[in-house]
Amino acid sequence: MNCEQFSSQLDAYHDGELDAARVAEMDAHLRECPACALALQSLRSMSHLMQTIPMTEMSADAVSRLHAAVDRTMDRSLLPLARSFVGIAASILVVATAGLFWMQPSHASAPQAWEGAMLVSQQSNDLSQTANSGTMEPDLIVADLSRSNRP
Amino acid sequence: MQPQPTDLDLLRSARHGDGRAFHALVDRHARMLFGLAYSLLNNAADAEDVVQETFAGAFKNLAKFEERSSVKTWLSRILVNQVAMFKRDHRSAKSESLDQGFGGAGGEASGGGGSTTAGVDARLDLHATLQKLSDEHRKVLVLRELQQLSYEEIAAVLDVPRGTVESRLHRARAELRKSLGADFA
Repeated sequence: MNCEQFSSQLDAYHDGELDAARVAEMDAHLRECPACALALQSLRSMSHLMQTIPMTEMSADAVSRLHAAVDRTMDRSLLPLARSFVGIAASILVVATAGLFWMQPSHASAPQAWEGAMLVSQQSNDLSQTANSGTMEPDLIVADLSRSNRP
Repeated sequence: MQPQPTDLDLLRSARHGDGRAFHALVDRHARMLFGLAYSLLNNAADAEDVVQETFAGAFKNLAKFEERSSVKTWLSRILVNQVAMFKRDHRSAKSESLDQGFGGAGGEASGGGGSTTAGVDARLDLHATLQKLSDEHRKVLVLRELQQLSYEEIAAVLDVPRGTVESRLHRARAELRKSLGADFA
C-alpha cells in the first residue's frame, strides 16, 4: 500500500468502517510511514475535539412541551374520524326523528270507506263475541287505536 | 421482570393506536434529536420547533415506516429533512450568539468540561467553524462526529449512497481542517 491509497481510506480507517483485511494493510503502512501516521494523528485530534463540543441539552420544560405537542397531533389525527362518527350519528338521528314524526297519529291516513265498514262489522262481531264469551280477542282490541283516539 | 420493548416494538404498537408507545419513543429519542437539530441550527428554540415537527411528521407517517432502517435512523432522517425545510422557510432568522449557545449565564449547555482556556477556545473556534461549513458538510460531520452514526446510517439519513458519505465526509474534514488552520494542517 502506498501513501495515496492509505490517504484515500484514512477516514474509513479512522471511523472503523474497514474490514479486517484492510485494517491489517493500513496498520502495516502506518508502521512504515511517519507522514501517514501524523495524518492519522491529526484526524484523531480533530475528531476528539469535535466530540467534546458541549451539547445543548433539551430542558425538562421543552420535553413537556414536546409531549403536549405530540398529544395535539394525535388529537388532530383523530378529528376526521370523530367527525365521520358524528356525521353518521346525526344522519341516523335525523332519519329516526323523521320516521317518528310520520308515525304520529295526526299523519296517519284517513280511514277508507271499506276500512270503516270493516270496523263497524268487527265492532258488532266483537260485541256479540264479548257478550258470548266475556272476553275480547287481543288483535281486535288494538284495531286502529290511533284513529279511535282522534277527536 | 418484562424485557424493555425495542424501538420497533413501540413503533408497531403506536401504529396500532397505542399513544403511550409513541410517547415512549419521544422520551427515548427527543434528546438525541434535539442535539442533532441544535448542531445544525445553532438555536435552541428553533431546534425545539424542529423536534416537534419531526415527531408530528413521524406520527403521521407511522404507516409508511418500512422497517428497513432503525427507528433512530428514520427519526434522524425526518429531522434532517425538517431542518432543511425550516432553513428554507426561515432564511432571515438570526442565530443565537455563541455565548448563549455555549451555556453562558443561565444557558442550558452541559458536558464537555474544558479544563483549559485554550481547550475552550479551540472548541469555540471549532463550533463557529462548523457553522460556517456548507450544509452538506456540516450535516455529514455532525452525524458522524457528534451523533456517532455509521456510514450506512448516515447514508440512510441523508438518502445518499454510502460512497457519497465517504467522499463527502473526507471533503468536509478537509474543509474543517483548512478552516481551523495550523493545528490540524
